Amino acid sequence: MTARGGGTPLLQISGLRVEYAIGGRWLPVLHGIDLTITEGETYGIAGESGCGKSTLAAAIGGYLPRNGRITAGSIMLDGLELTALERQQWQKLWATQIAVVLQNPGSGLNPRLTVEQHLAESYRAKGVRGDAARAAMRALLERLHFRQTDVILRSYPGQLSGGMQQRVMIATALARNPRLLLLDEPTSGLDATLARSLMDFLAEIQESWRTTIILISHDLQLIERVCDRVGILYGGSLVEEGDARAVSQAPGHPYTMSLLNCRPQFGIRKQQMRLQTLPGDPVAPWAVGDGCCFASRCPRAIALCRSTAPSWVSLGTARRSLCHFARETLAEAEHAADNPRSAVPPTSTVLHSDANAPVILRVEKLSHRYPQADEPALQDVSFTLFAGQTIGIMGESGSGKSTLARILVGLLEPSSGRIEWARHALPLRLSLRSMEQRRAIQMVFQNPEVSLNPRHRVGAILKRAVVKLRQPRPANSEEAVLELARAVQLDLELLQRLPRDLSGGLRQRVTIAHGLAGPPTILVLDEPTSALDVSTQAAIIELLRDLQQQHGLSFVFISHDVVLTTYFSDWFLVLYNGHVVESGSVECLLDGAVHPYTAALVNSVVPHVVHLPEVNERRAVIRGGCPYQARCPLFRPGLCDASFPPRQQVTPGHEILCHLPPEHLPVIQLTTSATRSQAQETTRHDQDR
Amino acid sequence: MLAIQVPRSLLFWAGSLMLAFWIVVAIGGQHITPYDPQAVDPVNRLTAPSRIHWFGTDRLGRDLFSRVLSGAREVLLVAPVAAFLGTAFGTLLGLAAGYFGGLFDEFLNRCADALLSIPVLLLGLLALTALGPSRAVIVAVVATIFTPLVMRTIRSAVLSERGKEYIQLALLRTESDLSILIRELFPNVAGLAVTELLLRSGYAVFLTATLSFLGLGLQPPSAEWGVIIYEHYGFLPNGIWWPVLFPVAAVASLILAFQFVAQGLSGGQR
Amino acid sequence: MISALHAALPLKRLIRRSMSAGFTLLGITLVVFLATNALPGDVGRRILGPFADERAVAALNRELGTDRPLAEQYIRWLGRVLQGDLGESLARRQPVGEVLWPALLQSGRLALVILLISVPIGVGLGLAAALRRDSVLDYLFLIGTAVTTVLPEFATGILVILAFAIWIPLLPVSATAPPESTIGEQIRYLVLPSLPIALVLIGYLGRIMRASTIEILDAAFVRAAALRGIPSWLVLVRHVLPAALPPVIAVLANQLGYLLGGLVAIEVLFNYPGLGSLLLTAARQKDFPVLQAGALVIGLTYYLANTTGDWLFRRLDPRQQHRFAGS
Repeated sequence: MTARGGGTPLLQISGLRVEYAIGGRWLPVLHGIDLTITEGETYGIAGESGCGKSTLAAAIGGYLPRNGRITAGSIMLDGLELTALERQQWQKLWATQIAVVLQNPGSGLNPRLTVEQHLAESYRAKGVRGDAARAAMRALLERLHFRQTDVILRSYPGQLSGGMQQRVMIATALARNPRLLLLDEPTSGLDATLARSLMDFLAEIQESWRTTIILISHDLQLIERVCDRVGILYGGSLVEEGDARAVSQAPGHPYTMSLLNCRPQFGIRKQQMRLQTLPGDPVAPWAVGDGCCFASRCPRAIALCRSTAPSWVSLGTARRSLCHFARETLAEAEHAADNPRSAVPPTSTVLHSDANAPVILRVEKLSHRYPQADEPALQDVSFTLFAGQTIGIMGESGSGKSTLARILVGLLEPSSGRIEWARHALPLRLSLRSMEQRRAIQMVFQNPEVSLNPRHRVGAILKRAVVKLRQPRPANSEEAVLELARAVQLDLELLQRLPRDLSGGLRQRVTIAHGLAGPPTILVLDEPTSALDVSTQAAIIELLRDLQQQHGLSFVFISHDVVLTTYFSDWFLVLYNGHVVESGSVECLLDGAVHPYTAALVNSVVPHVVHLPEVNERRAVIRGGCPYQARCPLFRPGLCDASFPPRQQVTPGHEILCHLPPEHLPVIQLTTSATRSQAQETTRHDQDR
Repeated sequence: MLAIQVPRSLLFWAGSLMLAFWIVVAIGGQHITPYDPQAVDPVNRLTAPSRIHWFGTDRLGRDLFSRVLSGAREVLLVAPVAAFLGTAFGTLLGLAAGYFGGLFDEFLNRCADALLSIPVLLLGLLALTALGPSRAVIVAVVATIFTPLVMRTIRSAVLSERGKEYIQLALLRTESDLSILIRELFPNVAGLAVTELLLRSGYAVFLTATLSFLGLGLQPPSAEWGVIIYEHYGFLPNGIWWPVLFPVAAVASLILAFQFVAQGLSGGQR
Repeated sequence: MISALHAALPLKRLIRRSMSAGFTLLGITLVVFLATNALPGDVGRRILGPFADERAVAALNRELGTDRPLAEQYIRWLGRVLQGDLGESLARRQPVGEVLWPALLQSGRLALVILLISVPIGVGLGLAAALRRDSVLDYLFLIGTAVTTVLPEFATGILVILAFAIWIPLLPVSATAPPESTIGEQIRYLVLPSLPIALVLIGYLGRIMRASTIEILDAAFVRAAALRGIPSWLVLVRHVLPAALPPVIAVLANQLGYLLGGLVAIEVLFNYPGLGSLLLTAARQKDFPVLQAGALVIGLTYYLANTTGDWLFRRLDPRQQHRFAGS
């Protein structure tokens, strides 16, 4: 059901093999890739880190690093063989036919040159200079819905907003009218709303430009939204290929299935299902054995899979899967798609966010301004945490979430505010807290790279935690360490290793074990899974769920990931520029009116669930008005910039910081998966986007 | 607890070999020189290198080969000691300044800036003029100059480590400041300190040789290489090269030895 | 709204920086003063020697003012310096300024020749090494600069003399050309003494240039520019160089101070009447006023050069130049 494409093939890749020189040896990174992309279509290449998708992009785009080489196969661009081209020839191609945009497009702009100078370079390559070029630039920008084009042309990148930078970068690519636009992880590293606006921009381009687009991403949901077809890579091989929506709805390969199942669908709660977890970590392309590359982690794998490599199984028109059990997998997937997900018997006794549970933490009006900062990082943040439950704190970068985390554990002393734990006031500075208090509230950090001292063995780190935090001091601290390792399912022999020998997921388990040493009553988790692969994220989330279950822990779960937070949390809080714009139980979030910013956050990752008008530019912020006035799609002049909004109680326990009455607020509507897929099919090309 | 790996690079081994050579020579002292380095022989002044005197003789007829060898002891008694003192103090101050920050850090920084605003050689010149040349003074002067240099390097390393989460994790498990400095920070900075020590040792050799060359450091009849050059550079225009070239080569080899070992340890070139 | 705050901040920052600069400058004067004065025994005795008459020593001390407490001496000295009075040379009985100025000029000339040689070669070699990373040229460059930057100047000087003046008599050993020589002749005489320090500077500048260029070559915007199909030389000139040069310029400014001070060994070796050898002579003659004044001049130049270097570096950073307009 591709609306575009279905025409002449533009790019034909056959038998492509690429190797990298790593540590003195040549290791294979791509094992014989075959695929064809037709003119005008948008093709997505998906996979986790290390699967080879960036290498594939680099081979197509001609920018393999110096330690990479193509060892076999061919890449044909409309009859031209790309694998044997010299640097000079590539320069001509880049100037006229293939446009490559790398990760975080905005960073590709030279901070010392104006936008006009950037665009001029693209035009000069086509022989257009001077006034003709300037006219063309203006026309281009207008066609891309830029306003005040003259101002933009004169601006330096540093003077433009993040979103603007992304679009200018893509404009420089489009200025050359390329036949092929290659986007390598364009949204990774970007905030959700920024990523969303970039993707919307891309969708507009698809409409008006007829360029063939190749989009590389680890985010399957992104690819599903924007691409016609998708190819899934794992361990250096293509494992499944087909229509993007069809593959996402009902995958035909166990790996694709696990990729989809290890992320919850928006609206599903942890009481309803467990995320699928895969053992181990994504396999490196050079470590793949004889049989199927996915055999080591596949839940369906049998002896055949380990000994014999599978061959392509056709699953319909333009759809294929590299698996011995392709048809069975597809059948299972289609069955699951038609029927709602079978509810797992409730694993926790708490079916709904229980407001009758004892209060374990009460935070009142926390505010903090960093010295020499223009704006406060946090303003009047208050919330309540009930025992045994999880509160999810959502916000983008700059919202103040990390500041809040550090204040809660005492690493940062706030400018004002109060915290109450177990009904006593909690000293705000760590050094003033009692041992009992320090033990009770611990933290798990985001970045497993730097959370553990690289010079200490893992077991030694945990031993220090046990020795310092447990009271009374355990007679046998070794035993206590083993106990902790078992609790987080960490292989005991890893205790002798240094952190650098462990993968990100394993290091994160160690950090969690460290936090459990006390044992604590509250764990503050600051983006605990953001730095991990999708499949590893699921394992950590499920581990946390089990720990909460077994030990009655309460969690403060901080994340920018809306879907994961609504899955895992009982209560939620949304931060914007240090203000709490909404708070309540997650049930309220999923069924009823929400704050416009919350709606925007949800909208950026899950379209069609909430209806929001488009916002094209930022307004100037007037002091004293609503903190969200600059970007709010429901902005009312005279109201929103006049005074600080009131905190409305939409329903008991559910508060929204907005001037507008609830009837005017956006509403999140969840539909069942079946009706949703139908809705998506028909609204694929509607103007709303 | 500390993981140490021995590098396999050519640089490291070449440097270590050279260093070992000079250390052995310094320890051996007069017992391994073919002639007595102090033995004066006015008849055979300034003879060119020959089979009897491999490096020739100096202006007092002393065998240059023996003098160059025994000069190693003079250098190695002063330079590494000064370097060690400077590195030790610099590391302590750098750790403290980087970790505690605040006014203490500001103050130390300003002091370091003031001290380092004057070219190293000049400071040495001033100090040695005022205090007179002696081994102890040279060591003290060089160590004083090195302390702010090392402090700066260590401090910036500490600053970058301090922001990392493992330090915060240590704070959360109630480690004391001292414990964090010693247990957490120092192992991550120790490698840098060792590299600094080696580099400073090379620099100390540089300084002592230059100071001797200027007549401010060790004095004749010391066989320190800079002193030999000081006594003989005036003869250069007359084509008498051997009392100058060999000590220069010795100085160069020792400094490069320290440099290569340091670079080999820190993983090579950037 | 933001503009008002931004207007206030620079003023505060300026005051803060001036104060810390003042503190540092004061510190320099203190260091110079202490290095020459803080020691047991008295100055007069040290100048006149152990055999001089007691009364002569006392008279000299009174004349020099060194019989007063140290703090008072420092204040007086500082006061005089701030008024431009640098005192009188003990050895030559001339105002220090008259002695200092010609020496400064001479050193300046030498410094100029050094810069003329080292800047183009250093920057050029560093750029070439960065563009051909990990090649034979790069390897040789790194080894070569590793050697030249750690050898003492007098050692390199001696090697250079032996190579180009004694064994291959190409250049004159003395640095001072006979009077009435042409500019060309004069420069020729200055080449040999310039070489040792030039080699060191080439080493420093070259390495910084190499490191800076490598960092820029890996930057996202350079890769993006190359991927726009712009010819490599244009990418180099338009994108790489303007970004890679500022750190080098900053280092250069920092090195200017080193030049003036580090010339000591070279001036001695080549018998050149510059500031360095003046100071050495003053040291030998225990001519404290000259010593103090000279050290002060060098210290100040060093400090100014360093500060200018830091300032230049910050100014050339595009992030500072083009502030985000609007909110």
